[in-house]
Amino acid sequence: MKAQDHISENHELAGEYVLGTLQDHERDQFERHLASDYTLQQEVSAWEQRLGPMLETVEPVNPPLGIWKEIEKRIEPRASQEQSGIWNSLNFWRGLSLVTASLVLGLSLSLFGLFQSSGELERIMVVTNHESQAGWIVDTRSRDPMLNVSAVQPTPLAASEVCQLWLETPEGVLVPMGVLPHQGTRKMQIPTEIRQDSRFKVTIESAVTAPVERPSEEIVFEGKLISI
Amino acid sequence: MASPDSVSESTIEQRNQKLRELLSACALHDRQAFSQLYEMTSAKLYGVILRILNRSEWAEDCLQEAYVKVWNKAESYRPHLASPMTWMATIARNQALDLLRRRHREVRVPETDVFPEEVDQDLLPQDKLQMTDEGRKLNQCLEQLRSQQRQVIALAYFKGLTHEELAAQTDTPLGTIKTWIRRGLEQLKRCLEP
Repeated sequence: MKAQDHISENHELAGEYVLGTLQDHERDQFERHLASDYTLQQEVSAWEQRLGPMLETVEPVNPPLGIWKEIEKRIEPRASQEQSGIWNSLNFWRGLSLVTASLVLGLSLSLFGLFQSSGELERIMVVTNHESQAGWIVDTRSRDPMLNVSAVQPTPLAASEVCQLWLETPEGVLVPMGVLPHQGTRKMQIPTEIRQDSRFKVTIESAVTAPVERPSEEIVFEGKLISI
Repeated sequence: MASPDSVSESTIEQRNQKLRELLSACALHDRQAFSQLYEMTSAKLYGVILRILNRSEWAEDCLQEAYVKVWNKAESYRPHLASPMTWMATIARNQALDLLRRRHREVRVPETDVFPEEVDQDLLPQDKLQMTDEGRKLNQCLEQLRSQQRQVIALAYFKGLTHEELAAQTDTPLGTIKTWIRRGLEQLKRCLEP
């Protein structure tokens, strides 16, 4: 009952949180709940959308010219690092595709250890591509609240298409998680619906509308995270 | 208030369609699309940030942070939930409010420096809320609130003021402010329900 009270109290606070009227300590407390409560995140997002149109009333002001260069620099290192790393080298993985799948998985694990320093690997899932080879690696780590999704040898798609990852709830409802990256690693929020034996699914969606709320195409992959 | 003519509405829809496409491309790390997105939206986002911070040196840093966030979060944009401009402007607003609160905590900037505007300034010009369907709906619902309630909500939204700060700025008892906000939000939520 007490936990329920907390939940409904938090939901009442969602509007004030977005409006900005909570005191520092109330805001901090709210954000701690928000980090792990998927429905609260949805409530906050609903309030952002309700109040967001107020921002339309603001007059545009041209920013100083140098700012774009600074922004470009900030996103450049990540992009170039992703492209040059061995983890993302397509040829490297093409070579490996001759090796058996289990060996690839073993190598993946050691590469994770070598190239990814944040947190220890806890659970992992290999999403296979159209040729039943490792297309993406999905993993969770200690001290990391996000899911890491790394492209290995993604299914080649038309420019208008992307692969989208879903979490299946015990009731069989698919919760949208995000678009699988074409290259590099992408972090995704872990839905609160996740369970020890949750199933994940992948669909192909239109690049214009993805990530969508309901799958529009057939399921092309199903799998589970396994503990390391 | 006359609604905008169909020409400007279709222009806005065309712009939104283009922005949706650019955001999808950004989700796939298309840097050229990101550059175009910046071209089309940076003046709006800079306006939002300046509105909140009132200091160009803070606003410039904040704009950078906001666009790095847009780039990193592009894949989580849901087109059926918010217009692309509202989504990006909300990211800019959150970034600006975070910075304002941080600075406020760190250096205890006197309120007069951070909020040099007149409190009774019209923070919410209604004619500007008529540009999109979302804006028109919100405007209709805001019109059902008392004018002081509307002003306090706008002041909180654009300045991130707490209940206590709102009470001090508007010379209104704290209890009244809390009631105005709570009831105002309840009314808005009911009114905006589909």
